[in-house]
Amino acid sequence: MNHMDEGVFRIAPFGPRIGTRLEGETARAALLLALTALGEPGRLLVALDGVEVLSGSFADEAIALPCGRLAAGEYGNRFLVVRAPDLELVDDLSHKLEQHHLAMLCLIDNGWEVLGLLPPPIRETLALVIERHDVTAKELAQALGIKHNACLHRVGRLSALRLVGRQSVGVAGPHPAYRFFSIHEG
Amino acid sequence: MRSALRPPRFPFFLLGAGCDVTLSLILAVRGRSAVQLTTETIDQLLAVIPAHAGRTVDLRNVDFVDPYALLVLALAFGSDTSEQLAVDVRWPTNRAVRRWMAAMGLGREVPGFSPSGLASAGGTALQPITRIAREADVSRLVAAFDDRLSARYPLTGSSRHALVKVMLELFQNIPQHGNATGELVDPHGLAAMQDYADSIFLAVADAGIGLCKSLSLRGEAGTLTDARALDRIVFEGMSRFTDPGRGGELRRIAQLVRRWDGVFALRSGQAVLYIDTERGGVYDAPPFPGVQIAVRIPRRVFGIDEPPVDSPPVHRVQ
Repeated sequence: MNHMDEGVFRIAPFGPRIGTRLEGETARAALLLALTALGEPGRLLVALDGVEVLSGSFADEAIALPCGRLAAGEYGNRFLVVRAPDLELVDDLSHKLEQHHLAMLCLIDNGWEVLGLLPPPIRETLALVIERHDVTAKELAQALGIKHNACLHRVGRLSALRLVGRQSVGVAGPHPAYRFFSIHEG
Repeated sequence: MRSALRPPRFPFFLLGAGCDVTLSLILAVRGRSAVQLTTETIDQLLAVIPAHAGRTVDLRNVDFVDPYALLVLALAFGSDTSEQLAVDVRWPTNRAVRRWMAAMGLGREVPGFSPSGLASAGGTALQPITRIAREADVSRLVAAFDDRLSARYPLTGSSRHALVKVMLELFQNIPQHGNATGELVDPHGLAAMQDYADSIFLAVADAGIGLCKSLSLRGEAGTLTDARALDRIVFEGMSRFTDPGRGGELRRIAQLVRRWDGVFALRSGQAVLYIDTERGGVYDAPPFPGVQIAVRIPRRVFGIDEPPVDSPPVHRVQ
């Protein structure tokens, strides 16, 4: 994997207890600017340090909507990751992501969690990508003990949700081959 | 949860027959002739007000008013509606009740309400009636409510933050949805909060277009009754917007209050959703514009079993 450009976007300047959709719209505009300023591949860490309350409405406007646009491919090879002091703070964000059928990686202390909706088998695959940092689908399938096609489906979903990065490494038979890399660390 | 339509049954209240010019509410319990105007009883008053247009509504025997009922009174008898109804209101004679209503700022909303020489400030009012009109003001208003509560009690963080989230969502719903059709001249809502010996009570109300009309702006919603609109919004998480991220907030608030063993009431048009520890359902209600919400949370949720820092409240919900 090439070096990943990294930025940090702090939510705390918008207030410790936020907020309304209107405030979320303002934050979203700033967040998208920060995201587009990154090179590719790039990871923007949405930092919630110093935030006491994150309402669902604010979280939807400021974070979930950009996450949806990212998953739709609007921002190329860039990623959004949340960093939160605890899971309770991001509970409403998680529900909003679920409503959108999206998911995000959330860093908490030294660990990580997935916000939003992610079926357990796909989460298991994500955990393995994070553990190995950089891995092929074939290696993942062997480690998970599942068929190659099933593994391709899982990493394809993770890649579509922008939970893992994907890098083309030529072709394998009739199909392009990829390596998948973790976005857990910048 | 049942959603069968039937009138709410609060067996300890009985609506007395109005005499020619005076509405009289009789509380038929232990022989008392006093009346409590609460989330559970205010609809009995609303049911008879239209019939008394141009006449007198007698509330002199009221000895308790909760914040939800207070906001309904403010909307029903406020300057926007009192001229249409042309009712003459006889306000409670109970000094403690009148003092509390004055301290809650009822006089600002209802010009006809006079505390009759009582001091308008009182230690019992936690958060007086506050107007909500612009979304840009919502965070500041929520912070003010939170500050008031925190100044009176040493609150635990988690529940306090949850209450702030509840307020953020309920307050911003007023500018977001209360006048979604743009038909109202002075769209605004009201909020108030009071602490009791057993609970913290938040009320939010507006006289806007209501949930049914708001939801009908979403074309696919079809023809809705008020009860069905409540059902779709609270239980299905529907919003007037088609964006999947919209909606679901009222459902989450109802679930949260239920988890806290509190009371959640959501009224709009001719239906009210009422949830407490013993029941939950959508009931018929007399017509009233807009949306009115009551959130009553046991104090233990906030870790505040001890008395308030300043003077204790006079009223206790019975």
